[in-house]
Amino acid sequence: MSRIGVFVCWCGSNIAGTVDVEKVREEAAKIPGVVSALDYKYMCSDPGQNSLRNIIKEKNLTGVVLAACSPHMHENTFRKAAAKEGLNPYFVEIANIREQVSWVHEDKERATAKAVDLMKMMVEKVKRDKPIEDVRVPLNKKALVIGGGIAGIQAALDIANGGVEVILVEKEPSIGGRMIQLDETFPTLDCSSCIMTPKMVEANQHPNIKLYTYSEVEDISGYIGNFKVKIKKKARSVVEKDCTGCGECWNACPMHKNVKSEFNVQLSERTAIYVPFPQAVPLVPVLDRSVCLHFKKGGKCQKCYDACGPKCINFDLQDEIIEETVGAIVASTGYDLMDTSMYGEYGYGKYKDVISGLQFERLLSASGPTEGVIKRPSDGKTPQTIVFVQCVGSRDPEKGVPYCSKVCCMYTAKHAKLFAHKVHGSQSYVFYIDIRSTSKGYEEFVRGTMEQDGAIYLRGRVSKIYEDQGKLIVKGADTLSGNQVEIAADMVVLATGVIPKKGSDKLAQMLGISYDKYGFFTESHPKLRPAESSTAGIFLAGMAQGPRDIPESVVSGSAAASKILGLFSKNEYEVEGTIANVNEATCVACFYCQRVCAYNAISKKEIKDRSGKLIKVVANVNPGLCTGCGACVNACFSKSIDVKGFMDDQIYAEIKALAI
Amino acid sequence: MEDKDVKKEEHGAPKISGDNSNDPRIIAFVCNWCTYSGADLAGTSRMKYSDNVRVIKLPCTGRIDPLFIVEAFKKGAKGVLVSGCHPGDCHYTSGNYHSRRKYATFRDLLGYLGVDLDRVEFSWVSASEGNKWVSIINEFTDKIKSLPGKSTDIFTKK
Amino acid sequence: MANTKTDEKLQKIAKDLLESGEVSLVIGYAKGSNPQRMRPLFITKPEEADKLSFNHHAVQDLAVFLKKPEVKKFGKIGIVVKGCDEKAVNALIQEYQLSRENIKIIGVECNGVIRQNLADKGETGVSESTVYDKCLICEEHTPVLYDFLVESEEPKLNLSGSVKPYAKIEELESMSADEKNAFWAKEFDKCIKCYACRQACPLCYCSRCIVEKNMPQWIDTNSEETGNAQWNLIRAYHLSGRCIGCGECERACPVNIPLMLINEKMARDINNMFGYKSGLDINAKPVFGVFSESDFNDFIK
Repeated sequence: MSRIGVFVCWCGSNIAGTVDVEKVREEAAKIPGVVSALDYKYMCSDPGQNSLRNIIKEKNLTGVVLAACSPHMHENTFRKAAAKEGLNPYFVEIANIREQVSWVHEDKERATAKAVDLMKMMVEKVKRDKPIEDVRVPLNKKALVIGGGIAGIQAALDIANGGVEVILVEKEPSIGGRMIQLDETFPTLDCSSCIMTPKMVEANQHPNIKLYTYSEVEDISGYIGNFKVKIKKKARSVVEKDCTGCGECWNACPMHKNVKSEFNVQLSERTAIYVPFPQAVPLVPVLDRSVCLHFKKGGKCQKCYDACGPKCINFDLQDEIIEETVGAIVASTGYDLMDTSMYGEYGYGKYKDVISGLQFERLLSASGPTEGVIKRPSDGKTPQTIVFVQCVGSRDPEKGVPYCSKVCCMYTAKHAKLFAHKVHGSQSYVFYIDIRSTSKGYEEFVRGTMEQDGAIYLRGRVSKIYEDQGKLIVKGADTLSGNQVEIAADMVVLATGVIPKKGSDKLAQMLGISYDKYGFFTESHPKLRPAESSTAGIFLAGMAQGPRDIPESVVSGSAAASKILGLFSKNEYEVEGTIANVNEATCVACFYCQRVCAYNAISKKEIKDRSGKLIKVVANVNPGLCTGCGACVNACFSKSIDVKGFMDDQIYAEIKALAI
Repeated sequence: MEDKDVKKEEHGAPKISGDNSNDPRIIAFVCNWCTYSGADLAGTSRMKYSDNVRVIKLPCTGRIDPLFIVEAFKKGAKGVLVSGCHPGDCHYTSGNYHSRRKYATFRDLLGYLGVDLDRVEFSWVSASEGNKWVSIINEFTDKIKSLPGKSTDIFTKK
Repeated sequence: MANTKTDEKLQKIAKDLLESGEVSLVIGYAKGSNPQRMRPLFITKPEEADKLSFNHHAVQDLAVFLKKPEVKKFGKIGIVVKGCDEKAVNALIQEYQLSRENIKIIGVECNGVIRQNLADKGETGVSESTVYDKCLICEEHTPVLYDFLVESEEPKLNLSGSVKPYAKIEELESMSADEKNAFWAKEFDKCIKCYACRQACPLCYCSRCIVEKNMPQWIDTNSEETGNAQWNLIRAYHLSGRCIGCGECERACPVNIPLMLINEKMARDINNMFGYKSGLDINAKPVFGVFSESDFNDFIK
């Protein structure tokens, strides 16, 4: 039997000035099931809330309706008050008679009539509310970070320092990501390796971090608090714990002229057994079986094995699958640069001296293919004139990507600056559309490149680059002077657009998180929840979500970490109980509900009899993932699924309460 | 509005007669996160709009079933409005995308069966668009008032 | 009557399937006592296969039986289907009501089936003036998916263009709202809520139909104009994007409501709006299970 209490708030004169609150109270008292009808000046005040609680207690209420301000204001306030008196907080409904009646209508009689209608509607709704318990999901307090670049490393360190175990999985033989490929970082010109390597070492040595390099995530199932992960640890052919990193093996390898170094972006060669760079973490080489003579030509060559002191090379090692259970995941898989060979006019891939921004970083870098001396890839000579072209691939809806890659204006200015410092008397030209230099010290940095380092900035696009007698002729426009320009350059650096790392979309599908049409992972809310993906328990960090610079990547890693530490601060994860429920008797398992669910919350359930024979298959809702949006209810033809708090019979009753 | 259009009961608040096409009942099904907040914004900004509308709040347009539209007409509404977040902004990621397809289909079917489509309206109103809410309600109410009094839909008894 | 080559092929396929145990049941057509009608046949033993037959009176969509629990319990089933009926099988697979491994699709090439009211008057010739409207627009004379195919011996349908199938749809589309309303009000007035349309439809497989849900009762069950309109509206809506156009609903309706004028219209509009045709690809995602960011948006303010 319903015992509903209705409380009509005056809100001072905010409501009472237009709505006859006493009439609303009188009408409420007439409704069958309403055992108490009160009006009060300020329901949200302490005395107001106390009177609410007293009536709940005295009249043994089963539901409460407040005719007051918007539920967005005080729904939680009144729910908490009701909960304190032992009434399930979801049995509190609010009729909005302020923001949507007294503040927007002028005729008092009609406004009062509308307030009465809305109050009646909510009485009928609350009569049909079902008790909702917040769902508690147990938590495995371990985190998984996928991707060991700066964002992933930062997230792993912050989580580990918070006392939680972290598994850090990295696809490449070493962590460090893109940042370790950089020379000096803007705007401070810090040596990237100098600030990065301590973090890499810390991540490797931290007691709470388990590092798997040369490993990939194979499979993920489960949900927040309970993700089952399969990690494939690819065979290095080297026993990690015995290796001292002495380097004898890669010095002995005969394959030193055939394989392009990925780390040096194809500007130099590497051996079959190799570490990608001298400061690799872990400093354990990897044997690339696809190019290794031992594997390709019948097992004869074992020069590395012979050279190895501790004898830790083992050609028979196999890939290992490691299974872990974690409570939360950070997806920080980073980025690649676009392949700009499709811009035939720029000649990337055709002319050796037209290179990408990342390749120029490697040339600048002391540990790079030219030991930090800027040399032309074609003939090894030092360039005197370099043309930098910004926005190659970015801001191009037709052939490239429409978005801005964010970091190129800054790193181009940096490149021009460093070029000026390294090669005295040299000249840089920068073709740009706009200069985006928004953070601390950025604008001053770019200005400095223009004013102190003498780089000539030309606002215009490049139309063609071609080779002529050993020089690269760059034809472009200078829109500020209105002239066509032609520059004979020794080298051209293309500030290439960034795209999510290859395979990001497959990983997103495996994780069950949303990604946009470029492959960047989508945030739960672009402004208010930038660290969370659309799937509960999976967080995002770094360039995997979108173009950003190093400080932003670090912050996003810390943000993801803080979310996880907050999550793990309790032993259970509490989900608002407004979730969907399946009527298993009428469900025919067409799974339209599963198709429309944005949260992967619906799965298949088999109902069997005692002897194990299958009776029927039905849809099943995972309470940990369901957000109560109701898309499934709309999709179900037979209405075999319903959402608590907005059930079919409640909405029917609300419409009926408004019947003429 | 003249006195004869308002039936006053002996006790209680005056009852508006929705049968009179000059004073139609409009029901609006809105999503909690965008349109409801937009309507609240219209309120905090003290904008004024026509008071024939009654708002029923749902979590998402994904939950707003065309069945509700039919039911509203059955219960005497003369106009039904469905409003939610702009595509791409759905709080629940894709609820409005799925329901957009359903609304397009249902509206097509309703029109083919002879329902006056002027009586059903769909809109995207974001939480910052208080003024859009106001103009939609005002325009819709005026339009419904101008439609011929004879019911052209097949859901209410003649 | 002597067996045609088509019949012999069908019988052999069914016999082999039942003998090998690949299926436990074969659903097909058989000649009835009346030469103008074929009846559905359910055989479980190989020796029963010689009753199977197929000709231009095989109107019924046998896929409708696949939703029945009495049929489902046979597990592995073989079914004789024309192109249109086969689309129903595909749609059922898309919606997880059937698994591809459990059904052996015995496809028959069909060049048109004769309208039963004409057949009852003695018509035996297949031509554009004797077959159903659906046959005139059919693009699946050979079923799109099958495990076995039985070719047709009948000549292809000659379309001169003088018969316009579903012409009434265009006529209705050009009417005013009031005129459309009057047309449909008159049609729905006839409805007696027998639900034969639902029972005859292979895709109406819900064990508890929306009209049977009474808490709340969204669709009125009473048999008068408004309740009838709600029922027909909701069925058309639920079938939009799923209906494969077999026309069984209209054929089953005892009061001759032209239901295909609604279902065919919706199928066309769904294709126009979302580029989707039901039942052609078992791997395709149903039209209301997906969305596009650029979906038709003009009607939304």
